[in-house]
Amino acid sequence: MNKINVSLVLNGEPKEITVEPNLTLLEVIRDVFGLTGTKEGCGKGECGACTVLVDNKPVNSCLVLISQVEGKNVTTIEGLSSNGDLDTLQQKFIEEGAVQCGYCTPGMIMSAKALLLQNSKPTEEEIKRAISGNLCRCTGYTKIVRAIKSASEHGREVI
Amino acid sequence: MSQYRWIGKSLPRVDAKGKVAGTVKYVTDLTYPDMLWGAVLRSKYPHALIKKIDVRKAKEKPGVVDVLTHEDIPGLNAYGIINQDQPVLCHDKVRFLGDAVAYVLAEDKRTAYEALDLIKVEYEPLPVVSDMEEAIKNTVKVHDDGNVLEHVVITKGDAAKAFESCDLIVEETYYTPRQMHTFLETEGGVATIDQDGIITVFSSSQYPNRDIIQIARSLNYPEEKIHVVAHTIGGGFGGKDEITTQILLALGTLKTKRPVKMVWDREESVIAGQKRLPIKITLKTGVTKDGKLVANQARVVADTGPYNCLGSAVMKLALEHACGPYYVPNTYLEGYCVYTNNTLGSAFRGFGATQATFAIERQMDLISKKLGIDPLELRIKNSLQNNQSAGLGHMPAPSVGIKDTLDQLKKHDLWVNKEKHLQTKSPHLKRAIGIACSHQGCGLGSFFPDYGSADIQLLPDGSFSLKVGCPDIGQGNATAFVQIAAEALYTHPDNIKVEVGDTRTTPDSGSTSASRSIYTGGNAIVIAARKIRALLIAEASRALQTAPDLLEFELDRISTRDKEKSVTYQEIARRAAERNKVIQYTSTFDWPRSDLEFNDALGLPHYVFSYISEMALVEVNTLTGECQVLKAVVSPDAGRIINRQGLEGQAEGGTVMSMGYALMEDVILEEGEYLTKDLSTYIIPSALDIPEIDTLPVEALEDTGPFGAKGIGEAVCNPMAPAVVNAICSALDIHITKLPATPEMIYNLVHHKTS
Amino acid sequence: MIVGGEKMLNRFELMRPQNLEEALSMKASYPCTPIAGGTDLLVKVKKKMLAPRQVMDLTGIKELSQIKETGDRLSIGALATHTEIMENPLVQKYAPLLLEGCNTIGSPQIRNRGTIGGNIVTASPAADTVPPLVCLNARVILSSTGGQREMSLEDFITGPGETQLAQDELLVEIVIDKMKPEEKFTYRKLGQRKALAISIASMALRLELDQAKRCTKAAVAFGAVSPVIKRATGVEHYLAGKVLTDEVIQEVAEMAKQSCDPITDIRASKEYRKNMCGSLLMESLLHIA
Repeated sequence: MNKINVSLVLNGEPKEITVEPNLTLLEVIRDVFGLTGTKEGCGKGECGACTVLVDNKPVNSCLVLISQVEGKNVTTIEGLSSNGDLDTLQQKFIEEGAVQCGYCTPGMIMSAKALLLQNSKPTEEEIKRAISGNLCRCTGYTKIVRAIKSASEHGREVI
Repeated sequence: MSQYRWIGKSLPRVDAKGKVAGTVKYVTDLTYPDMLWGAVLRSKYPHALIKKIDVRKAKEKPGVVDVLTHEDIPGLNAYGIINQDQPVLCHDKVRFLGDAVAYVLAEDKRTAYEALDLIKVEYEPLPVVSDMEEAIKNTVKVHDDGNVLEHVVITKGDAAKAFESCDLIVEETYYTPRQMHTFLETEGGVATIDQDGIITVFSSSQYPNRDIIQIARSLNYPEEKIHVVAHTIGGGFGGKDEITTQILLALGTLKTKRPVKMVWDREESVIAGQKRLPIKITLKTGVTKDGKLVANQARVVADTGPYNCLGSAVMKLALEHACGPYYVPNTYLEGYCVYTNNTLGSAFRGFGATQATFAIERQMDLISKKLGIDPLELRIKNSLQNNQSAGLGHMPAPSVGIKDTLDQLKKHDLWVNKEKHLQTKSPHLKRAIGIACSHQGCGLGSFFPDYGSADIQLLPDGSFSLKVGCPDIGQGNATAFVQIAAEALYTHPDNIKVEVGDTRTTPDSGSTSASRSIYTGGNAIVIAARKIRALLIAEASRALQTAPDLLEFELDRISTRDKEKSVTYQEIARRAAERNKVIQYTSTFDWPRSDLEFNDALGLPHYVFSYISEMALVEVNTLTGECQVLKAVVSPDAGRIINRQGLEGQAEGGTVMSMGYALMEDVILEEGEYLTKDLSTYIIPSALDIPEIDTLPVEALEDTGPFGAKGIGEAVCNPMAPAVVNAICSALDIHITKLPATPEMIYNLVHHKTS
Repeated sequence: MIVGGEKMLNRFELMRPQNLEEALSMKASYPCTPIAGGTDLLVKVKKKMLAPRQVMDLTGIKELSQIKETGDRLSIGALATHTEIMENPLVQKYAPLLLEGCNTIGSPQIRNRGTIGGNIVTASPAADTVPPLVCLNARVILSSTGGQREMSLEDFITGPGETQLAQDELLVEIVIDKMKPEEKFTYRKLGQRKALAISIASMALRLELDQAKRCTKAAVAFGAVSPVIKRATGVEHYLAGKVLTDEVIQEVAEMAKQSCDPITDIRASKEYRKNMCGSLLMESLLHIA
């Protein structure tokens, strides 16, 4: 199998990699770059745990071939905070109790981030729609919706 | 104004920052240099004899380090919390599709799974036992001893005689589905071994200390040379209480002397992982014409699948909870737990009470309808009170808050102004409100050892270390432990470094299950803190040259009563260190037990119970059968609230999980074969499916609990399903006896009624 | 049966054309499997339903995601994602029915990756863009090195997972009617939950009513109830010229139940699906009437 070269910008840093083409973006993020904040919950786009932003739009990184992010900006959960300085959304997830086991949290926050980048004052319905591709089994979503709402009211952009 | 500094406050979780930043490592995120991957060959048939296992081809594949079978198990090739009936690697027989037959260890994951294809197994398929009632007949046996794992009868009063005097008897059979835990992090972990032969297993587990016993038994390896670390974990809900990957991980590292990782993907988790037991339950319930419960008879058949895990205990809790949180003077409760070739049944949040709650709460609504008594009033009228015996005939702890929770519903706007809430935009949309109650025995019940332990130490900088065995499986018990310790130690929560779920450092406090961890860990912390306070006072007395009884605690310091002099914890720590004195204590705590014990039903009854009432506003589309839960009101009584936000989180999460159980969740099997294999066919609620949820807790304080606390984790998973179904039934005037109530089921019931 | 390790894709050779011409010449020379959004293809590869030896990544082709007006028709590039379609002002103005269909697909993540071309060539009986598209008289344009051909979408899809796409062809463009502002329309999806759902049954509906509330034109198509999604012509003919009285609605709903040929699967039975064709149509007509 011929390896391929892919250039991308990961969390603001240009990267060039040479990898086998049958790797997903998720595998590259976790196994090549060692960024384990992005999780795998199902591997088939049904749970959203692997959500990252590609050019500021949320995608299931388990269903993206690595070649498909050629030249694109990829943002993972690690890209939201800098030197331990959390994004407002991350802060609000803590304050509102939107985290329990936390396994869905990175993907959930990335979906919420994409929403707020496009719509700084979403309604509750818009928030629910924006995270409808991210399954959570612990929280019943209620405090997640509240955290996103709260972040939208105190928003400040990091990326 | 609360009398407490920290108890009851919505303090942020101690582990939240690492989780939102994505920096915390879950057990399945761990990697080691030189690490191997493990992969398991699962059974090809739901029920078959194994004639031959040939692993030679797989062993020859480049990159494969070893392929293990039953012959490679050094110790007992069986595990199980109650009885050891599940093979680590099957020898002569497979009993469900999740059975492990062979185990490949390879240099990388791809090689490991590709090698599975090269293993040749010869089977002789056997008839599949898939029906619970058929299983009881023992025509085909899943285990040599027969399919009835446990049969229990418990009585109170004289039900048969009491039925004769009843004005109304309602009898119905209910069926509950196989709910899947669907934790977002599937089962998995990593094991390592060092030069001294110390094995460390990092694994998704709800009870690491018990894992050690099970690993040691199968590996024939000293317990003291095994450690299990259970953090950080992406959800448990009961499905990580029994062994999942721990023994295989330890076996792999023992055989190869290299780190071994294994993570089940979602499909493997669906097939091999544990599920909530499906139950068939027939209830015969008799009442007087004014709605007083007189007698209740239950026949429960529970399908534990191929192995016990905790199935037999689940069946018994279904019996214990089959009368609801109501006073019933006469009961006859009979249960069977049977083996089949279906999914592996085990613990799942609610543990039998969930299944029984659906049945008894439907009965209550049937009675309400037949007698024309308001469903809320009927429940208030029958609600259990302090000093009334529960369904098994024993006296529960006198912290019975069920009536108070019902009063919360009664005062809520949804109930007070129900006519307003029942308006719909279209004639084919119908709304109704449903109510249901439940309770949940906390702890492991009678007979079984049920203990806790906490270790507290004053550190040189004046802060404290706090160690409790119960892992935090996501619900936030570690944060509650910190709040309890901070309150009891007169310190700030930031001043406590908590560790949980690591047998290398934390004392055995039992499992994180059975609504027990806050009660158990909390009590152990309170006991340890009492001792630490005495040690601190002694040190302060010495430092301040003042008699101990003239001293009192302030935040992070001890002062004289006249406030003239004081000494900080930091100063105490420094002075103690100078004298090489360690201020440390490891406590033990034992659960109080019920006044009754059943020799034929070990584990029953429970003593401490949580109580809960819930109400649901539901809108049903009569054209399609679709159902939307618009509003949920949850009133839990878990005794003293330790963390308000955490309690709400449990209430909201449990409510949505229970709503999923009501409307959409089921692992569907046909003759032992899975028709639902992933998250596109096993459906759990999304953010767009949830109701608005109000949580209105009451606090019936439990004298034996830490600051009066009981348990919250499970009761919240019980009443929403029957509340939703009761609402649907009353909106459409239909009767639902089986879950999940899918749109198709609802549509058919409406359609057949009108045709 | 091998359980586990599912997420790993089989080994394949990757081709990365940078424009349509390159893609078509690769397609002419190799039996390669094109990947657009990958939301369907990669799931099938992970489930081992497919094991392509050669994969052609279409990401580099920029010219196939344009949406433009051509007279009374709208042209949509096959690589336009569902999100791009939903956010496009021309679609918002002239094809809101298609927008509604796209809006029910999977999740935001899936809509951000999945393409309209992918949704069509997958040829799933439950595809959410196809009922709206056939109601919009969609035609598909297929390209190969030998040239282009065009056909109606209804003719293009021949069975579950089957189309008339030749080995050397790519679906490049979809052309649809522009809707009139006064048209009534709806896309209604019945799933097992409100997001991340696969249709149990779905319905696209376009109606034109005159001032007497008489139906002058109707287009109806049901999804997930037949091997191939087709217009419900019997229903359409019945509605034409009728005022939407309760009796008419009752009658046409009965007719809708007979217009389909569903199967029983894990999500629903054949009988329920038949009934839902009637129910979804009735619900929408009652709403419009």
